[in-house]
Amino acid sequence: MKIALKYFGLLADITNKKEEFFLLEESTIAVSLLKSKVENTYQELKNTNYAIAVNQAMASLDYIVKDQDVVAFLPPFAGG
Amino acid sequence: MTNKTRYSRQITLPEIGEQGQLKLLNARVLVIGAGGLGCPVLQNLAAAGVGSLGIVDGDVVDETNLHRQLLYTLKDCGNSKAETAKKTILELNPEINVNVFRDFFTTENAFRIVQDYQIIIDCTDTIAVRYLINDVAVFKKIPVVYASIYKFQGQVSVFNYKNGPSYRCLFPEQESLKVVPNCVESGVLGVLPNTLGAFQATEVLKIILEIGEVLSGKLLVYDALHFQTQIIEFARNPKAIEKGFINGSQLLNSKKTIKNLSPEAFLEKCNQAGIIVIDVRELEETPEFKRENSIQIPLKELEEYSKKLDKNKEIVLFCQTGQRSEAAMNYLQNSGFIGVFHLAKGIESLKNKLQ
Repeated sequence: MKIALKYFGLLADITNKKEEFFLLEESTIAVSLLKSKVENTYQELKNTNYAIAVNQAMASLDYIVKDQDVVAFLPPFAGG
Repeated sequence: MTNKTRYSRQITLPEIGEQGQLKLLNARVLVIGAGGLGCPVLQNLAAAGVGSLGIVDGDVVDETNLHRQLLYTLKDCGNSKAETAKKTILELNPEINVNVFRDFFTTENAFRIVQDYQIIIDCTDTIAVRYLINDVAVFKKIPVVYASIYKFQGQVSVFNYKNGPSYRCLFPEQESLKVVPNCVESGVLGVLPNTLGAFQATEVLKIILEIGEVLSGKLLVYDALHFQTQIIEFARNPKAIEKGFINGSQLLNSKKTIKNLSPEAFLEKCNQAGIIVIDVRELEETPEFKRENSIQIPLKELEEYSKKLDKNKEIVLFCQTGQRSEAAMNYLQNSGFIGVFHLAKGIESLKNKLQ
């Protein structure tokens, strides 16, 4: 499966990219597993608070991500 | 209605009319933070004729504010933001009432400040204060119009609107100190908070006028650099709402002691005998601030370090802008420490006093 990952705010600074594609052997993947895969690639993400949205809706950790889904990593911003 | 000419161009809109203008006149709106977001919010709501505005800010105008906070000019530097903002918007529209709170929004004054208002606008710059606003607003059932910014990006949403989701439903608070964002100044495009503040003011007017579709259960994410906007939907989380409600009620019933220190109170505390002063910044951050009784424990190491500390000792925390020290204070208080204080706006608020 191929999914698009988008990073916002501080997370884009950590990954050094706005978006990327992930190619996975699985045909589906739970958000929790995807989160740990991504955090393994970018260790510093483990030390940040963020929410995950799939196809423009916030998703819980047990939500199942499918081929062609768009997954957004969204931290709360502090500034004002 | 006193002045129809001033508002004629919006009264002409069938969605507003004289009835709508009257609703605006009777509305009571609290703006927490008169900085990058607060300035455009105040300017737009004053111009639209929102009858009663409250402004909460304990800060003073600094020259570094002027590229984005357009209510202020060079001659205002050093003066209270809340007072200066009031003066400027009253010049723009003398027909409204403006009430000033020259304080930062804290656990001690939160309930007293919000009591007279129907809508709260979160224009603050600290995550801990955003959770505080949420908890007080959930408890009091007051809608919150939220925005926040980071470099070239911003977020907007409306919380607690007609029993809708809250800030904690969107971003549940993490217990660990390891995830608190660093508060080193990261820079911001000056026009960005003005865009986001205008979005907030729009939502406030829609709520008061009861028109259109309010941004409840939806997060607008705006990227100025690539001109991209997205709407992300999120649902009500009863547990997250309950947590806010419980926090709010505990706050209302807790003994009020001042835990947020002004620069003067902080320096005085540092000289007290028996106090431990903890710098929770990373080791390389400047300016240096060292005292005989001070130690440097970066925030990520504080959980571990605090296990060795006497919970009855008085502890004073500080960081760069107050973001990390406030999170550290909340953490230590929840772990049973009796006397924990922090420098409300960080070592930056001390810079004139250290030179």
